[in-house]
Amino acid sequence: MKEITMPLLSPSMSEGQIVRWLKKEGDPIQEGEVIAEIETDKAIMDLEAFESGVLKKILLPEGGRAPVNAPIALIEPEAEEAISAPQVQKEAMEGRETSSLTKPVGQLREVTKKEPSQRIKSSPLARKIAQEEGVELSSIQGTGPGGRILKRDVLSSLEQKALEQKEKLPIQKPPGISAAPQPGLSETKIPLSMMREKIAKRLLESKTTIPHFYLETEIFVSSLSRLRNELNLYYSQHEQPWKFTYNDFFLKATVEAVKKVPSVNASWNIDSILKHNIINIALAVALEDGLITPVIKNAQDKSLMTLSKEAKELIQKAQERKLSPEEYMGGTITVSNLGMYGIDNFFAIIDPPQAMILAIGAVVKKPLIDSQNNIIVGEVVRVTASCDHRVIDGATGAKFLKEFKSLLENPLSMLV
Amino acid sequence: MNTLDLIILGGGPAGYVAALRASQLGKKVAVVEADKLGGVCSNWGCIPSKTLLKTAEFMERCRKADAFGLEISGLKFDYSKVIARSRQSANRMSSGVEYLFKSRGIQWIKAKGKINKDKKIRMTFADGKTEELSAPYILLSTGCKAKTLPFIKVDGKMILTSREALETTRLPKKIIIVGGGAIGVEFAYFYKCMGSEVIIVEMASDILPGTDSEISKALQKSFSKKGITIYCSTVVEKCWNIKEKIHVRLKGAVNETIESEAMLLAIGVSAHLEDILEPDFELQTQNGFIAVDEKYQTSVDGIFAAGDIIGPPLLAHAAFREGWEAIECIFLGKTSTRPHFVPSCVYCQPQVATVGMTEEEVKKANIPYKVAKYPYSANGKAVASGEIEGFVKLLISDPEREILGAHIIGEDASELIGEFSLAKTLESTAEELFLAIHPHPTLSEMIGEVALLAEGKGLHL
Repeated sequence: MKEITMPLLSPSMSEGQIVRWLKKEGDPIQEGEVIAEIETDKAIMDLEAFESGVLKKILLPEGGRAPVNAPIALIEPEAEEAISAPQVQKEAMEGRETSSLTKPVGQLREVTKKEPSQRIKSSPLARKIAQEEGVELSSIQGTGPGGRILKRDVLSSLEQKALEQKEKLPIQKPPGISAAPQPGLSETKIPLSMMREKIAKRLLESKTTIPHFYLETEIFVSSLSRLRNELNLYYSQHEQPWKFTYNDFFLKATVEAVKKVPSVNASWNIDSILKHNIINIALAVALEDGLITPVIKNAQDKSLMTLSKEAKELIQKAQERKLSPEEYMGGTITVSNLGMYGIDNFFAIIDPPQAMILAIGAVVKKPLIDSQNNIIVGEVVRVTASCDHRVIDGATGAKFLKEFKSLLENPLSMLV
Repeated sequence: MNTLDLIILGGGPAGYVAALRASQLGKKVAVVEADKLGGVCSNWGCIPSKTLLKTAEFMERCRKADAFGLEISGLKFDYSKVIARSRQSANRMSSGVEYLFKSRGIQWIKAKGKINKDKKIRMTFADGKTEELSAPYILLSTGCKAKTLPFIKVDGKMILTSREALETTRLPKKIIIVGGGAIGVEFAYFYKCMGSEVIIVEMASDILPGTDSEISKALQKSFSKKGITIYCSTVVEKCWNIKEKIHVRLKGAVNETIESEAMLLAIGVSAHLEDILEPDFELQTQNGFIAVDEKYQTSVDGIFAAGDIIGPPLLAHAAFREGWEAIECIFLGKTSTRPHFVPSCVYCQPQVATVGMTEEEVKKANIPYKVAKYPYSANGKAVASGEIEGFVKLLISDPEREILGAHIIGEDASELIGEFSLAKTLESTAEELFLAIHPHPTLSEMIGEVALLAEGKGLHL
């Protein structure tokens, strides 16, 4: 009988939650088959079986959480089955008795703790690097055949350790003011999803450790609106019809403005500032119970059309919670748009280690005074940039926002 | 026929392996291939050329018989029989694939296939009839064809590509081989052994460009000793026929006009692309090959591609794996990093077999490394066989001793290189290469020895 353990599905994952078991106890499973859905701090991902056999025992029920590497199920590999079937059945039955559905994860871990004498499968190269770097093999989750630890596993474990070191800020647990039940009120306790917990931790850390300042501007978008209508009219008759959203232009303007004021595309790195040589735009996408920021990579090389298509695809994937870690990591600047909710203006919290987030409101019609002192109907949008003052100074942020505004007010300029 | 799960266009290494793997997974598969099954590899590449090279090698050995205390006189050959044996090997391998298809219930449709914008395959049969076929998934694996020069027409008599060279029963007295890559040097060796005068014209500064330069220099030296003329850093500027002679004007390191009765073009291959796409259908390409993602999917949903048509390494064994992986991506939802650490072999004598990074690449990547070279002349089996030319070169990282690259020139190099592939796949280091006991006396002992040497503990040197 072999253990299936909680896999490491993203570099920042420390524990995972079972969303759904797709197989029941006793079901045969094929190597490569998806047997469960696991929620990490960022996404719901599929758990594939490493080998074929029979799912003998589910140790972690749906909704249960376990740290990476903790056993979550027992599988009987194909070959073993015939020989020891009665024995296994007995084990499984006993297992069922002892593991009630609400068994806390901590205990679980204890029960199935690896015996020290157990051989850890690892490649010679992985062993040498681990020794060189002073890492315990037993602390590493192998991704090779049969859970064998490979070079890449040692390297990603090292990377994660480095990351953890960095993240070890004074705050261990999001403290916050906990809401003690008050007399006369009736509450329903909602357990935290992994995503909710991550949002809480990350944004609290951001808001309490990053010196935010805000720059706000109003942008006249009448020309942009006309250009968008023209483009959409043209593309509606195109053989591959396409419709641009206002947000596509905001993304494009962000890229072009960053090219002009590249110092906003940077990160605070404690003893230095990291200036990013590529522009990866993160888009805040609202989900039913949280939000996620998929990333358009190398946006500096992308046309309006490409940005638009990628944004649409990423948003859809995000809403279906199908993003792979690669697709939501590595953003260098974020654009958050609440225009569709009719919000005129808001102030967003920076997503560390980025140094800027743009908060974009709705495009609204307003009376404006033109150069001849006539009152006209104009279209405007309000945009706020939240900046990390350690990285960006007021004047730099203002310069960026000025470019951003100018691009959107003269929209043809960002298309050439 | 209308309940197909998958249509594969092209029955070469990628296509037929994909078909076999898909049938293992219980899928209904049809392979559309107008030529024989097995592709260039079985019919016009690997197999028939290795058959010819074995003849050449045999000849060369016979000529060295004296050194072994043997007397062979009156050595003669019948070139048409040499070619016939090569065709037999090809046919045998191709019908082997045919047999596998039959026994697995894979449908072979002998027609030319083209894909259109509705993702349908339009098939044109030999009699001109056409028919349409569709399936939820389509795999394109139509491989590559030899490149030619714009100013010369391949006529199959005087101007050849490897395909014509494998078929013609006329042995040229003199041949100019344009291109000193794997195909070029193999034919150069073959023709030289068969008694032709051979000139290789190579654009790069060494033959076998991209190979570890110590290896290509060693081969160049060996070839020169055999009497093969090699013009590197030289291109063909122009050529023309006068009666039965081709005149070739060279430019570069050598600037003269040479003449010959035959010329072989071995200047690389290009993807079989336009022949398989209807004019209304386009696929995204990259450097002339079909662009695919990590699941072998092309820019169009449901259409996948594998093998030479998706670009280098343009090798049958890479295509075999890509075909396999593509099917696992399609039907098992896997993703792939594409085959890497793919060995590459050249079957002239001395053979060349390499895998991984060249020393030049390691230097460029700035990886701290150690390098060792172990000569065949220090190996007992090589001495006993009278094949002491060549060496095994190993590059390892310092201090982890990760295998970065292995390069062999010499007898049976192609049979030795696989051990390095296995070691790398298992993430073995130089230490395990030595710890594994190699039988004595064999050429494989050099692998353990070169690993020891790289660690500074060389025993037999």
